[in-house]
Amino acid sequence: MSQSATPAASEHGGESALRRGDLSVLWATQWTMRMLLGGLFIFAAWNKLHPASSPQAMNGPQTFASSVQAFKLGLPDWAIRASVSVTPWLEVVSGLALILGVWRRGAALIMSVMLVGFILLIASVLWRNMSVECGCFGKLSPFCPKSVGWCNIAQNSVMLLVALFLTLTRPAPMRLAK
Amino acid sequence: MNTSNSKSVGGIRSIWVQASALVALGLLMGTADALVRPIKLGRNTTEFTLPVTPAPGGAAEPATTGAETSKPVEPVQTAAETPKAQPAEPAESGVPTSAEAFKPTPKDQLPKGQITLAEAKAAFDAGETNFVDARPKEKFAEGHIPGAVRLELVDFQDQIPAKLGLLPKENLTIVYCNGGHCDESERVAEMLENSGYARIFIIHDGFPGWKALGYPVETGEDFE
Repeated sequence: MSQSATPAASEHGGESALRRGDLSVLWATQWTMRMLLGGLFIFAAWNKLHPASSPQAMNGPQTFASSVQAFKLGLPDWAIRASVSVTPWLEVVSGLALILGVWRRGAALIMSVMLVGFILLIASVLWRNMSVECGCFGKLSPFCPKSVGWCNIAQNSVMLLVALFLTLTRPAPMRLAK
Repeated sequence: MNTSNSKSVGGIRSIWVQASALVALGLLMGTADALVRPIKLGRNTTEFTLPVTPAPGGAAEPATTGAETSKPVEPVQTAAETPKAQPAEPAESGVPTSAEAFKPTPKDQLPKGQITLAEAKAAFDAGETNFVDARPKEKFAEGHIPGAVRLELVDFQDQIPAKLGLLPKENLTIVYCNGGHCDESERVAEMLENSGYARIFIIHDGFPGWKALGYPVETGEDFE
């Protein structure tokens, strides 16, 4: 689904400059959301995927595996390995697609589903009164404390709203108001 | 109207097709990554054995031999661990005492790599055991196992903590936090294993259980 620069006049016919201004605002909003959400997903994936610099380093696939196990979901080992291996790559693929504007509504849909899953996982941790480190961004916790809590639910909910917006809205053409 | 409905259906279908294609791509890359970099789950765990202290005047037996040569621990149910055996103080408010309310988790219910309070106490009494407290410093100051060294996951962030110098690698190492669903002790135990410690176990019921059974406790802040 490519971003068209052709005016929407052929679709809507006789549109006003105000309407053209609205469309450019929508495009700018979508563009900003795509960059932020796509960038966050790629950043999170990078922290999970890149090898740890030392056994004590807190990044890398092994650390992410420990985080997944810490949620104590009762999953068999093969399911834990599958989720540890696949989740970061889904983040990379959907993040890149969103940033590059390729299949972006599909990418935003994947992100929405993942974020719903993350929110449910965090809610289950809070329900069971557990103390777990998220590991969502490796050793960094840019927005919330390291231990999973309501802040993480709020953070993921905001991201979910953005992802749903990008899924449900058609890509707006980029038009400058005359 | 039919055109707009068909456009909507087509739009929804195309979103699903895009998402499916991206998921397939992610699965493919994830599978390839898993084959190239297999993930190790959990720690290397062995059977819990007490450190063997050298007999006076005799040759010292190595403390880090495997289960076949070291003395295995038989879980000892002391009077303190049997809540009913311990006379309860009359509770004026009707609230049971900690020894009454607390029931140690039996050994057959413990996950791999975790030990009972009785085993931890036996190791404490035997000596030559490293105790590692994985809780925050405020909790440590309120009370901890005597001689325990406080280490949190953040202490291992891209470095080897200086406090590891206080923990001989040849000793048995026991890690604890708040028990139950507390995750910090598992993470610290993994970091200790990555740092070269071989015999690491976790007290399943944590410090609250240790204290509830009336085992030795000391207070005071950790040195930083």
